[in-house]
Amino acid sequence: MSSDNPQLRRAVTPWGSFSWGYSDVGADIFIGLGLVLAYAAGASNFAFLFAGLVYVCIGLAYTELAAAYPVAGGGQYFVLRGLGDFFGFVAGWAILLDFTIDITLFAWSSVDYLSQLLPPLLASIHPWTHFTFVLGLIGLLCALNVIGVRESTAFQGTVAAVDVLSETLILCFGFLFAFQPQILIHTMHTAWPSTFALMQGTSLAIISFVGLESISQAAQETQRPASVIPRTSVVLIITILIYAVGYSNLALGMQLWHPLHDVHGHAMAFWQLFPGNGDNQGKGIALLSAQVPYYGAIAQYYVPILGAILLLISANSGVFGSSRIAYSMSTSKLLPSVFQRIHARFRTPAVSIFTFCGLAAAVLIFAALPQLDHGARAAYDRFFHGEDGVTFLGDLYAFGAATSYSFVFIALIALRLADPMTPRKFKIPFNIPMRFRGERVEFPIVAVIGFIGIFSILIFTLITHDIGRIAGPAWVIVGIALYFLYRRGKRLPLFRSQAHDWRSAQTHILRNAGELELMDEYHANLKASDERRRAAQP
Amino acid sequence: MIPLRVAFYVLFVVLGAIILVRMLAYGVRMETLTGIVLGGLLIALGVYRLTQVFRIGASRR
Repeated sequence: MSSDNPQLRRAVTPWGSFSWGYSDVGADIFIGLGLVLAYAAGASNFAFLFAGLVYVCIGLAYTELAAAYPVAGGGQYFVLRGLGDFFGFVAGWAILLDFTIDITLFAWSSVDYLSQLLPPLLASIHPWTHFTFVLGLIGLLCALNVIGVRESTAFQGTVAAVDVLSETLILCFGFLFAFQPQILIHTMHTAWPSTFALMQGTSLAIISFVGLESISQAAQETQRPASVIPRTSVVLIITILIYAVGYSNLALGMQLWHPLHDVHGHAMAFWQLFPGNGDNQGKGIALLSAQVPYYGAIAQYYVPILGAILLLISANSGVFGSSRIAYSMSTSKLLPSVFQRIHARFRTPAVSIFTFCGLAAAVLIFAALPQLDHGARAAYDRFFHGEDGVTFLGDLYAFGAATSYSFVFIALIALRLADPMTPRKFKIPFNIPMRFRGERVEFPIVAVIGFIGIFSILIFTLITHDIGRIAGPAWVIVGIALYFLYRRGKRLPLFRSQAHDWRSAQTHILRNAGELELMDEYHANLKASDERRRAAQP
Repeated sequence: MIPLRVAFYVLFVVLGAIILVRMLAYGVRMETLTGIVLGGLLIALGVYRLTQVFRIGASRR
């Protein structure tokens, strides 16, 4: 945190901040829709609504924290600050799992979207071609990140703008010309899933709302983040929720433009395209857009390309995010210093990039094995009830997100109690005023509701996903073991935290963000608090 | 840009109102709940953004 360190330039505008978040979170529905329809069937809209309401709570929590602590570390930094080193590590490690899975899942789904126009890329028919393409994309993203090429903010903003317009037009044409409320009611009556499948679908629905780390990432590079971030975040959160609930309602209640039939010639509903079909699960929006009257004639050609680009940008944010979080954790002495190593020529955290891209490639092999090898298929059928690649990735993604978000809610509560001095320009509504250690604080009710919601999704994931149940906790346990080894080697406390000077850190953060009024307010709050303490001493 | 934004968010409000009316025609019940929420969200976001756009426009004048 020394002022001598080079800092990120704060040049992101409100639209840049929105498009940054949108490119990350907005891509999720491109994967989430097909997966949720496959499991939650006639209750998919409810699965999205439940996960969406939890996501609104998470989004509000991130908005408050990112505006109060505008640093790029995101969830990991908030938990480190609120709960200490150990939990900061666990949350950061869960976020690293998410970013790693993000790389594989989004690269995988990007190829799925392309397969809508290029059938030789279909995973079920040409598994080796599909695998090679996904692996190639991971390698390409790795190379681009080591060299230091990131998609420009202008490109990201253009893709986000085209996507927002496109998704809105699909909703408009869909709801105006194809949506029939009686079909929705009929589907919900006839295709309501079992409780187990509904839990499975709900746990997968949360993956449509992952990527809020980008709000913090944007906060680090936005001018006056305390003012800009709340405004853009609220719009981002509601926009994403509208698309998720809108698409799921449309998928269940639309009159198809091109009637679908199964192999026996029986008429099919749209949602029936997804159960047990991994190819379709990865490209839900492309299939839906082709069924929208009139607009679908154009959308069926460009939506697969738009989806592939958006998903690739999101996969790239996985590479970028994992390397930066690992770098940040390493500077906080939560991970070994090797993750701080910078490439001599390109000045990028090359070791981190190689490590997490390598892990993403390993995860890809594990996810693709059942398609590539019949023996592996039999083993997966026997031990994991035949979960296919994209579902396996979705499982782990949901586990990582639910774990890290659970910690963020606890950190929000802890920071409201332990750090009431930091000015919060945006505060989650519905708080209980109370006194804690002699200070007036506000206890956030929404954080408690959000925690219950996200924790229930974590439980759903553990109950219903055979691979997620094993691989997710295994990732956390291996991480904790490595953390203990590292901290013991460095003679640092295992469960307790090192000494941190949060006052200086916060001053530095606010000054660096250009929030000088907030910095003055912070200093005044600290002074008043110190005087109160002195006066209270006998 | 401002007329485009206004048109875009008016579209949100109109679409939200249409969805809301069509869903409410079937009554407030579990099957129509997500549609009612969707309509409400579209109207809320549209109105919120229009207010912001008009406020920015007024401050520029």
